[in-house]
Amino acid sequence: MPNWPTDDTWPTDDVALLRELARAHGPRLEVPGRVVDAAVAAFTWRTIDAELAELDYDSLLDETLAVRSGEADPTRALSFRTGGSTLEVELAGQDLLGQLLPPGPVEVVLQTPDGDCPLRTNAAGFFTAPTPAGRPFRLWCRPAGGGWFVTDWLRNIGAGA
Amino acid sequence: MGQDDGGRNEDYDGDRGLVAAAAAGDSQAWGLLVDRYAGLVWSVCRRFRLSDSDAEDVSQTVWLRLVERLDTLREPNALAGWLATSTRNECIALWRAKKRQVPVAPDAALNLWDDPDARPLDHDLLSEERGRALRASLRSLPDACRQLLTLLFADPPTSYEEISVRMGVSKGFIGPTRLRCLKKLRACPHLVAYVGLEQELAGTGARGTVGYAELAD
Repeated sequence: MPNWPTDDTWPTDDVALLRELARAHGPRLEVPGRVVDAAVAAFTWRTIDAELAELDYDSLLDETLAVRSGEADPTRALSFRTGGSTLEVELAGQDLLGQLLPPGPVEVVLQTPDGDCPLRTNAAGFFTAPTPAGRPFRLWCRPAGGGWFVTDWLRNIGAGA
Repeated sequence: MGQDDGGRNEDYDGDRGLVAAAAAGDSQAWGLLVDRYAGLVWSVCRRFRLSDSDAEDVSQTVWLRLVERLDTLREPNALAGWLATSTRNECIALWRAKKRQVPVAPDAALNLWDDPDARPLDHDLLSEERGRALRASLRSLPDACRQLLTLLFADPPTSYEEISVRMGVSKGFIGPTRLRCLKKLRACPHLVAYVGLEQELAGTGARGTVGYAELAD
């Protein structure tokens, strides 16, 4: 830190304020260009034609589970809720298992910033898919007779982490 | 970030206008929000000591989530707090996921909370915002004040003799001018707003913050 001149008219507060000014104008944390580019590009993924399904539960953020998890437990459970439906999701290793509730036929697309992947579902609304490790993705769902809803972006951070 | 635009982006009056414009589909407003806060998100990731690859994924995820919340942010001016909290939560989730890969002692999963470095929210948020407020405030001062203060906080600091020569003023003039300019700086709206943010966080249990409110009275 530079030594500013000291005299009787140099209150401590002023020294501190000048030090803050120096720090504010010093070297700043450099954000890699591709990180900024990805943040800018995020805008193109704005949803305007579907209902957003809110994250209702995430076992990773469950304090009570964290306290007692003495053993390795690679399965992560999440739940998304929308107006009329709930989507239960389990992430185990690389795999995603999904279930629409109440059960019924559903169209599902797994979306990543790199592209969309339609998933095969059964008549009860159950589906599985591999997930891109660590990368953000979300699920678009259209229950039979209903409109599209889409989950929040999530990441399979248990897979190969 | 933000250093090539001459700081214009930092002179916007709060985030409300940018959030509203982005929510209405204005991609330029979105770009300005990214300019303003990419450093905050990145600094939180860095403090959690994430790898580059993990930090990139976390940052992208946080920005993707923000896109879907532009319409529903309850308080657009609390955007910085939302970004810092969301990034921290994603980092914590990542740490927990990594810990679950191998058996750990029951208490080990909690150690994260005891590590001061792992509770970065207030520090990072305030540090970024304080820097931004100070730069914007300095820019808003009259030329003479800005020039004098810039010479004073230079490293090494400029001597009164040199300031006297460069600014064409007598040495005796410098002390009183310095006092007056710092007083003006403290009264700048940017700095006043920052102090409000600091007090808000202090009221919600933030710790370890610089006692800046006292400086700016």
